[in-house]
Amino acid sequence: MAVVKGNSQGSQANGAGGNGNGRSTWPSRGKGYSVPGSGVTFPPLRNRLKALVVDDMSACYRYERAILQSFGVETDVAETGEEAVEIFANGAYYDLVLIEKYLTIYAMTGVEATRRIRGMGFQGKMLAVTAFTSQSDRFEFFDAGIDAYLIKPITHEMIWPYLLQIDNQIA
Amino acid sequence: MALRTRLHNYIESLKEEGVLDSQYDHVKSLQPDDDPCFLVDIINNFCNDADHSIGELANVLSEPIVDYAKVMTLVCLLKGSSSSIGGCRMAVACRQLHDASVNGDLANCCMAYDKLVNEYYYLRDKLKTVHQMERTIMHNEERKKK
Repeated sequence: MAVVKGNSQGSQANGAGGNGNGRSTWPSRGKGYSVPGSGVTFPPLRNRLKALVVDDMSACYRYERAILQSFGVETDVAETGEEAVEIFANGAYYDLVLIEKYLTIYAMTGVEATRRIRGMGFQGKMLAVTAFTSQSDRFEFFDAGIDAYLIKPITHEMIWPYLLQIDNQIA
Repeated sequence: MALRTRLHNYIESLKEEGVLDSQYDHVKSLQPDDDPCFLVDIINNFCNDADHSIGELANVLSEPIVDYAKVMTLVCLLKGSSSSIGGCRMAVACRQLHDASVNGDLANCCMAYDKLVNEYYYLRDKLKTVHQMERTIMHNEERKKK
């Protein structure tokens, strides 16, 4: 199975030292994030991570993008499964994908998009983010290739362990 | 400052009513310094998405043979959207429609749909008031800077 090597335009455009996988090796410029009113502070990530949010509902993807950006994660959005698949087919690289199960009633579901993205060799973290869950839903989505299943709305506390795991895996 | 206080009190009253929950404050806290329109834009996005999905639901439920998979898709999207913005009562109404559609119960689906629409319209009206107050505050702050 071929590994997708991204050509992350953002990091190349900024002249950063890449590591050949299209991923920037800058240290994160974030200062960490303190969740207001909770006293919880997340330390800054060591690496500049890149994420893709796949969701049809603009309020949802704007919210999820804001959460990721608050951690210093560069975040793109795809509003359909087809768009997400095309992004990967064009060679883009992401460390993390958040994907809604349902997307639209007329086109590719999140499950199918996940299957196709994995089929292209993407080995990064893929998290399902959706409003309802049933055992059959979970089974179907895990079978397609997601790594975890989160219920909306996501929070900093929910997403942090995955970002930390990704961050720690990068040398 | 008086308008900020009124807005704060208004939102607290919506929380006491159960229309909004603390998720709304969480969304507001994510507003970046360089994007003062973030919150008003998310409110707008929510209303536009929900208007569209509610309309689609009406179409799907009025078909001679109801496609319950489509109903579940649309209600899932609505629940995700409403819960992301803190619209907890609307999210509960979505759950009721979802449960009715899982059972393939058209009568209950229609009742649950009517309840969902009522909750949405109520939430939308309240959010429009919040939206107007936020925009006025933004406008006043812009004028102070000049």
